[in-house]
Amino acid sequence: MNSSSGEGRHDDDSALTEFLASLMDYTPTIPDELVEHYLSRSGFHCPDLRLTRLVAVAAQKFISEVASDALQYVQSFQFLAFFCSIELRIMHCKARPAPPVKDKSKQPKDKRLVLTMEDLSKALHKHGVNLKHQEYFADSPLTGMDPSSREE
Amino acid sequence: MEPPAKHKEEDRSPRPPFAATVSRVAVAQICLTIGYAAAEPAALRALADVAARFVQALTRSGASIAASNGRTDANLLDLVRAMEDLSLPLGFAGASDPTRPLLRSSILRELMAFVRSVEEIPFPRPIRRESVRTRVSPSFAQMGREPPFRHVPRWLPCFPESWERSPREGEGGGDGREAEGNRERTKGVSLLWEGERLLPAERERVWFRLEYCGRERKKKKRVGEKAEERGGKRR
Repeated sequence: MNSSSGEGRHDDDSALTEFLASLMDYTPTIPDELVEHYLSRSGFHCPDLRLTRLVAVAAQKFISEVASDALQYVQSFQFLAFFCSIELRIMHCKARPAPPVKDKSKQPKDKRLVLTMEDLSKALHKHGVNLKHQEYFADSPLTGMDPSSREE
Repeated sequence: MEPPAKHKEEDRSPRPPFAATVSRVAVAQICLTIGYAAAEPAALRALADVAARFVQALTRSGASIAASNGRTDANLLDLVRAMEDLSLPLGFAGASDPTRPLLRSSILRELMAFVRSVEEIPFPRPIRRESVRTRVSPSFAQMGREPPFRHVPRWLPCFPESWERSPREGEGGGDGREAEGNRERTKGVSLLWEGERLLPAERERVWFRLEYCGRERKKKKRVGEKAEERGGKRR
């Protein structure tokens, strides 16, 4: 029992050692210079480059999780919209004859995935970050007011 | 003088800091790997800001943990504890066990799995490193010298040599250089100390021309000899 736990610990230590050694060859998307800039601003002093890369990897993982959560919101919304459109088409087909088949090559190209503030705020809310933005910005304080109240 | 030309609205907005721009590019690359084709500018800015704040929060927490343990240099254990603190709102495996070993934390395992699964995408361009602004001068102990005063500890950096050469209270004698320095000070001109070099006492005259932007005074004043006579002061 003790030998197995000891072997397990040895495996964990060796895995961690290999991981830290592999960080020297791994290049995170967040550059080392940027991380070192924020390290110096925060008072985190460590000459070991592996820890700098570890911070970069942790930040990259966090952003990836947030972005993938936001992507799930978009994809679920698109799936629901697609499902609803299919249901409506079925109902219309039952009511009247089917329209002529259109050229399938001319599909709507509005299927690009775009990161929006709405999806991002939902994803960040799950991670404990409250992100709110203005719905719109007016050019002047009188924009949107009635002409009669403007004259006043 | 003509009034300054009206700037366009685009020029009025200040440029974002370099770090913010770099983080924006890095976050855009991460979003591309996730599957996004585009991003709203406001959303990208917000996510880049969140990334920068995450790094700062993580490193501040790590530095604080190191300081609370009486260390100035942080290590892996401090960083793992800081990552666990930031992950507490979402939770992680083993969070309920107060005696959990830090080096076998589930957060480290998740990071290892992430590095193995994600494709390596480096930053597109090399970034120029900030030059070292201040050099830490060696301490008295490193130089093998004794501090000039008893209350000064040996682990402090050495005093500048120019300061040590200047006359102090209780010390007699002086070089001709020091007397010249005193003469310069009486004239109201301050010397600039650049390490060991001193500015020469006799320097070339510098001429200035003052022009006023207002309509009332159109006189052009020439400052040169008069300034030197008054010891550098001008009306």
